[in-house]
Amino acid sequence: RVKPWCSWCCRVCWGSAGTCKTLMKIKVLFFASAREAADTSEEYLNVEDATDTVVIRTLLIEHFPGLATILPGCALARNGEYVTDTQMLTEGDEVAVLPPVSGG
Amino acid sequence: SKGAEGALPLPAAAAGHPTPPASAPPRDIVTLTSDRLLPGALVGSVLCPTAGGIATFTGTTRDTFEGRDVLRLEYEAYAPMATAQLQALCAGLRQKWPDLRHIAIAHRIGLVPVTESSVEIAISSPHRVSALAACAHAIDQLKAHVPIWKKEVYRGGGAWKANAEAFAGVAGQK
Repeated sequence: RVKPWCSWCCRVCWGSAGTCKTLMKIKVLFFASAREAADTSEEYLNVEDATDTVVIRTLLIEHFPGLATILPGCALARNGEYVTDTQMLTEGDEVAVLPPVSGG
Repeated sequence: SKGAEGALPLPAAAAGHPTPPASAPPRDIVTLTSDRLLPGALVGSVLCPTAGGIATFTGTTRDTFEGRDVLRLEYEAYAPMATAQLQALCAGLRQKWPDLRHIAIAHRIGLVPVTESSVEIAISSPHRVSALAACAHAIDQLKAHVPIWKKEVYRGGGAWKANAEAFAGVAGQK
């Protein structure tokens, strides 16, 4: 069976004709209690194009169920900056899960 | 004029920096280090012939929490973002107090024995008012924004702490 070539995305296409869904690779970092809850400090995820910083929270809990209770209290950073409004993720982004900070 | 160079390598904590000359542009010296921080060690790096006052802050660690003995603290950082947030913190101080001369902030990461310093701040200004106010604001801002986390280790357990002011002023956080 030949994988259909999608003329819109010109990449491997996971959707049927007209519902093209490409994937992008992002890096996720976990710190402190989030690191312990997810049992990892760093993971790569493949997420659909048009994944945003709200959707990623749901995806993180799907991939790392141990995060479920603490993730709502965590901030996210994208490429080293706090996520303060909904942003689209792009290929190669570095997303960090930041529990409430306790420096100083 | 506003700040200055980015993070500079800090030599052994006791050595500090040489005193910048009066004509030096204002310096922002931010450091993350696993080396021991000696209280007041940053004063030498913010001394200035035009500075009449230097304000400092030392954050030390208590040996008990709610009746439990704290054996040690472990600090973890998202280092590149912590450095960037500390640099932005310095820029914010200079906006509020444009007459500041030099700013130095060092935070220790890794294992910190009880009673040793976890954070050092030193700020100089021509008159003491700005340095004192900026120093107080600096530690408040650090505790709100800088991605560093402290774990208290007790006998038979440990707990990650959260500052009461964590994420204060970061829009969009719950």
